[in-house]
Amino acid sequence: MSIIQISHLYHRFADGTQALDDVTLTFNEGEFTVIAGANGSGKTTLLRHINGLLFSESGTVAVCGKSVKGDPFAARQQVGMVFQDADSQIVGETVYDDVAFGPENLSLERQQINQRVNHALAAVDLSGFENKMPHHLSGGEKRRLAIAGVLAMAPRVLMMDEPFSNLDYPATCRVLEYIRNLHKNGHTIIITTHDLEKVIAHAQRLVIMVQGSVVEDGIPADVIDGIERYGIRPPCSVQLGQGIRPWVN
Amino acid sequence: MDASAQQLKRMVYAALMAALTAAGAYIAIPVGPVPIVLQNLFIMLAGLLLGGRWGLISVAVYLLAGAVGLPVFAGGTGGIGKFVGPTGGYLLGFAAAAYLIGIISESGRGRVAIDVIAMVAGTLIIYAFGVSWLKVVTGMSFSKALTVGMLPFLIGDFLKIAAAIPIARALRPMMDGTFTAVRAAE
Amino acid sequence: MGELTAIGFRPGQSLLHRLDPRTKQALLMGLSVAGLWENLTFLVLCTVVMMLCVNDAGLHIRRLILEIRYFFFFLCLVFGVRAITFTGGWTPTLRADVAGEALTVCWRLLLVVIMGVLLMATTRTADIRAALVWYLKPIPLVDEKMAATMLGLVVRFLPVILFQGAEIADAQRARGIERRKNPLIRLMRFTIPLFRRVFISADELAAAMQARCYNEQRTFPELSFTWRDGLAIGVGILTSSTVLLP
Repeated sequence: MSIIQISHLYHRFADGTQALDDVTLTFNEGEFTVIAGANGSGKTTLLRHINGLLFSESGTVAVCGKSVKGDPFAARQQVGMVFQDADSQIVGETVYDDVAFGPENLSLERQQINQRVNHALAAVDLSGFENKMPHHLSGGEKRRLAIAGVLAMAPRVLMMDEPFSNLDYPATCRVLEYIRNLHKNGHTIIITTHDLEKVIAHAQRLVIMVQGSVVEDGIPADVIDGIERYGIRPPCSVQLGQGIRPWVN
Repeated sequence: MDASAQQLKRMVYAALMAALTAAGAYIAIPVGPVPIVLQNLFIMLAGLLLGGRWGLISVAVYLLAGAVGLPVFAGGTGGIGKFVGPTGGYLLGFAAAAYLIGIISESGRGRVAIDVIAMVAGTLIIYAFGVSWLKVVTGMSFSKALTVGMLPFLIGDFLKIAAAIPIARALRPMMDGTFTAVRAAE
Repeated sequence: MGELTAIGFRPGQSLLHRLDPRTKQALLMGLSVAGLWENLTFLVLCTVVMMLCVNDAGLHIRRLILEIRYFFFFLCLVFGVRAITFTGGWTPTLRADVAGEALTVCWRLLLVVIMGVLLMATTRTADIRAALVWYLKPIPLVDEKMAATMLGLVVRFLPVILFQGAEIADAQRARGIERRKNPLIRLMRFTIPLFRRVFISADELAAAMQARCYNEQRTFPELSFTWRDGLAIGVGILTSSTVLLP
């Protein structure tokens, strides 16, 4: 069943750059998609349209059958977005406050908020960090906190913009593990990246964007060959002729 | 962008400007033997960049943060007691100055002369509040209050006004359209 | 730098932890104002009460003194300015009565700081904000919920900004900024990149708040005024009333 439908979406920035050029995509419930593209290919702009942070001049975006433009609030509840820079999306002065920020915006009862916070923190192994200041967390912990903040909104779709940037090896492994768990629990996952290496083995679908257009869309094994021509580095295992292999065992 | 998103953006800018002002109480740039504290430069920039209404809101939030006990005032202190202490007048003067600088510079639409007038007026109003309160609390004579509470800082203030002009010019393009109509090019 | 409060919130179950944050703020303000009378009986009584509270809240006195040590320099300064007078020329003199007065002032200031530390150590910042919303509600022209959200952002981003400021200063020192003697250049070179960085993150932050459904109708922490608060207010009033004693 499809959960996000995008058809003939265009977006032009104020400086005249065509950020999105006739994008038509459908995402199905429970699907794990990676959107890859060089810097400036329009990946982030696309995510912002799905989340109701940008609105289309022409074309439509619908989440769960409802137009995002008509009801951005509903779209933002269904689709959680983890931004690239964890530091500038953590709002709360403590870990608890930050995770509670979303549910508080939904005007939930305090008891329900606490339940959601506990649940979300447990999902990324941050239980017991409630009273810590975000400033004192490590880079990996901040990224996990950002994911928890989105999980507490109970979204059906999770979008992550470059979730592995600036993370060291152990932190990358953990974030990867949480993403896989979330997918197993039935979440629809959309990840954008310019570096396929870490995540591609777990994805079911690979979409390639170049200068605002979708140029390839299919299962990773079919799309991955010759991907260099779009300015994306193929994973090492592919370069060595071994096909797509998991980044960690 | 819809109205609520615009409002949210202004609010975030004003809140971060308040945080910058608080940081300005800690940051001093050592030039020669005397460190230049950035606090009142940031107050001026709050008025110049955010305009009267949001400049005032930003400084008010900063003062509120100090009032509830966060250590955001000069020397890492805070607390409601600061307002009734000898330097309390300057704090209220900050709010008045940000508002005054904001409304004067808004009317000038980025013209340098108007911005300078705005900042001179703002600086004077900080001292009007600060020195008279200092006089009341300590019982000093007016001339002594001026000598202690204003004269030593005037050279620094002159420098900060001079620095604020190019700084505002460099930063205004980032916020055009958020607080005012897009400014006419110089 | 980078530390916002010397002693941050520590979870606990002491009497102060269980008090309503509104009560604690009212007591802090009330007792600070009562201190202005500089009545010795009050100061002694208040100090005893505060020490009991510090003990009850599980803060160690030694640690407390360590954390507010910078404040003692300030106190010494205040004492010096107040107590040392220059009579008849340039010889500094210390008179006993003036010194006593100066000591009282320092004592009062120290009490206020300790009360502030106690408030911060036993109250979640979210609760402090919720109490603030409650106090601001009757004031006209003030949007108390917006004020609370903005205050939360200040607390969140002050350490981040201090960190970024230090980073910019280091990067410029590494490239020899100290050789530029013109203070104007120094002010510009520091301020412009700092503001740029903060404002870019402001755009991101606004988008992130929007993505998490930010709106004016939000749930705020629940506050409850119990018999304990009534008792604490009573003790506070009794303590304050000692300023009327000689």
